Amino acid sequence: MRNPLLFALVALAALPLTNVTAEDAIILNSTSEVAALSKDDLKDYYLGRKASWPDGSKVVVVVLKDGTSHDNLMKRLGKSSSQFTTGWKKLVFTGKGAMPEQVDNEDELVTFIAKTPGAIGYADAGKAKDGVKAVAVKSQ
Amino acid sequence: MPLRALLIPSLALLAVPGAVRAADDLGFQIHGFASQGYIRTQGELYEAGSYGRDTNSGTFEFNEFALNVTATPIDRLRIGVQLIAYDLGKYGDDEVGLDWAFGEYQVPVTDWFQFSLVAGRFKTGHGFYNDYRDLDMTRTEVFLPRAAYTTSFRDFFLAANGGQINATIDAAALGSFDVSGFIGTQNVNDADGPIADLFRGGVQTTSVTLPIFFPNVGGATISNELSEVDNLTVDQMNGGYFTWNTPLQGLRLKVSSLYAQHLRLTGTIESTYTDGPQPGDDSLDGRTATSQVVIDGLHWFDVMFGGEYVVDNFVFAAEGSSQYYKAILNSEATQFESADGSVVFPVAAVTQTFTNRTLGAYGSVGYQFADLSGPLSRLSVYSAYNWIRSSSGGSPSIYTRSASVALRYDITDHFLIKGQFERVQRGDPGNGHDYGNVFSLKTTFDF
Repeated sequence: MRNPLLFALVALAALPLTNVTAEDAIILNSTSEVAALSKDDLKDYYLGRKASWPDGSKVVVVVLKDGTSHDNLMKRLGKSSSQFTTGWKKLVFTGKGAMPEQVDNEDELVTFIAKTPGAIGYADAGKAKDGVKAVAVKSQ
Repeated sequence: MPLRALLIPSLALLAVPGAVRAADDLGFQIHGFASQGYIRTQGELYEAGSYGRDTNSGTFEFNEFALNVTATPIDRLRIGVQLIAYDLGKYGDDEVGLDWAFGEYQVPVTDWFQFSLVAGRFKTGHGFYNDYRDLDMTRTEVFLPRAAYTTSFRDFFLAANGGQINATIDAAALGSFDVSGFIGTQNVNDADGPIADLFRGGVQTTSVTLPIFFPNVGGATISNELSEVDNLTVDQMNGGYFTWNTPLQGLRLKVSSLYAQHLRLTGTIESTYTDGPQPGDDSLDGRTATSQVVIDGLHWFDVMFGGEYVVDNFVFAAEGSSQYYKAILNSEATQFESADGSVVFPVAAVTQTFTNRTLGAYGSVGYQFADLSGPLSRLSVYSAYNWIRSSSGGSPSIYTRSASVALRYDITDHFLIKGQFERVQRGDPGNGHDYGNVFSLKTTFDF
């Protein structure tokens, strides 16, 4: 592209698109000793199969009501949103789990995780702030 | 106290923002649900008997209400209690009972081996769906498949009191395994409940009747019924399950069992002398006599096995069920007397052994229209086919077959309505078949 100004304008226009497709991340409270999760760990925690972290502390699952990050999480879990909710209701009404915290947006999600030891959430990595940390999900 | 009286203030509490996820460090939560249904039958079906009324004209005595509280007081320990009230026609009457109440401790072992200990009253995990029998929000259909989940046995199979061990084993490329076992007992001491009715022969379940009778003595014909149940206990009930979550995502296979032993029932048999051996002598016809009866040593063994495959918006399921019962009945000697006392017909003490074996299987498919846009995405459909064969002692086998379709619509994430139609064929080769239909509607709210 010969015209630097035109290049800059095109790059600027592409910026929102870049934000939308930014990589989502698993976000934990910063006091967590967990440095990385496997795909199976992710499913185990999010689907209520594991209720405790390796150090014995309680897992607090936080989810968005809807949105792109929520949809991406469901894809990672291999569940529809309805299947995800139904699975948790099965746990809650048989005494085998506590319903995930549900928040309206990613800012709320990150704020909740920052103040809640043991919390785990899924959001745009760019939303990370003090009090939380993003962890990698290993392929296995 | 009706559970509705508890639910109303709880629902009011929900109006306070954040109340549900209250008190924080303890992980304290309150949840509940309320379901109201309507059922109507056509034909002579077991539903009519088990509901204790003529459901041919329809009834709204078909509901469940539950309220639970859970907390995590210390790391690795979860405690909780759920109260439930239900009405299934003559059963339940919305009396509040304990659905489950237990503590579960996660024992630290390794990352690939999760292990927990449970004490209290807990769900048995029998079959894929027994634990969720009351949870209409977890399925499309109103009734679970009758071939594996007989409504009348609800109280017997749903939960046990005792201790349970649960384990999850991560088997890497093989998937994972869930293993559970329990030792406990069961509260069935309800003289008006479905288990007592089972022995009365009053419950024409799809799978089991245990008729109690005196043999015809000296050519007389005597009919009998268990008129009173004084006591009904189960000393021990054990069980467990093994689930393989296969490497194929969404596919799991499960086998589970329940074994109840030393069930003991004491009660009274009322017998009616209907016809005597001597022509013209009707002095005893219609006369009644009572005797004490003890049914003891019941062994009840129930095994279920099956597979479930969840792929995209489909749920395919198939399960088989095998039940075996053996019971010994001892009744005291009694006698019939004519009205004026001049004729006496003695009946000796009776000891009888009953056995019953029932096999059942079903296949089902469910689909949720989640890929559609707008309100239609909240629609789901379901269909199942059931097959049951039951035989008692040397009696001919009774067959039941049924096909059902169901439709569910989720008005919100916590409020739904659904309906089901089931066509049932029941009978034996010697006496032909009865046909019947079951229509049911249900609405459920949960929080």
